[in-house]
Amino acid sequence: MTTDTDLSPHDSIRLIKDTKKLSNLKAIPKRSFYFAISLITGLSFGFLSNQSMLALIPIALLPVLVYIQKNKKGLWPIGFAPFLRQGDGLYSFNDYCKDMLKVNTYIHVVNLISILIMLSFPLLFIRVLEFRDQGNWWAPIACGTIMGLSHLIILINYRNFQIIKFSNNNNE
Amino acid sequence: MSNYSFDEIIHAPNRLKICSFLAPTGSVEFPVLRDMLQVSDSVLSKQIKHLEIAGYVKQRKGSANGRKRSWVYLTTAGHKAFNNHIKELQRLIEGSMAHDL
Repeated sequence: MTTDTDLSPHDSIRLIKDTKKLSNLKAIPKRSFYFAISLITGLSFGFLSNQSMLALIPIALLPVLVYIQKNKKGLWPIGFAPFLRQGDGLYSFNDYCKDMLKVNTYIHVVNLISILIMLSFPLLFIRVLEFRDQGNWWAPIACGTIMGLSHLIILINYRNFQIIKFSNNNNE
Repeated sequence: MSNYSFDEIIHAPNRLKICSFLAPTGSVEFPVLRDMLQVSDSVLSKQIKHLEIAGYVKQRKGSANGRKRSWVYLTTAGHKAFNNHIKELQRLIEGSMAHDL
């Protein structure tokens, strides 16, 4: 096969992999971005468990925050780009498992607990309302704080995982 | 016979880098792409023009904070062509390995 370049298929695949890694690494936002996202989560869950329509304000702030980040960095923050398709077969399930193993086990455990806490909100919602109605005014604040912290843990772990995933050179 | 096609438009190193950079990140601002490729504005414009003519890439102009900005993104056809190109490269590699054996 003749082309106007000297790139062999091997070199091309290596070039694609390296550029994709660079692209993804550049798209990883700073911790402050994830902190702001979890603050939004905490506020919205806090307002939700207080049955307040104010919950819509932080939810509406989310796309604004992503848009600001996009304009600041010049590319979409990783995991927040809409309508994005990746499947090109360069990152296999085995590579994913290998990268997951590089993350310490306790981080997986903490992450799992955080995910369970966040998923349990619909079940605990009525309880929080009952608790608040019994005179414990701080119940929605506590709920929002717990949800915000759980989301922060998940996001920071996600960030660390992305850095591990795209920094290593072993996914050949 | 393979269903995937080797795309000579994409295969040029700079254009291959542009597509690889755009594929996972959606749209990218022109200066970010230029810094990544380490080329001048005119060289990048030329490469993007090639991809644009083929229908693989589109540019979106806009302004933010009082200055003009240009965002580049892969079209659906671009994603498809790029993925097919990768698959064809992988097929060629596998073919050469089988041939060596």
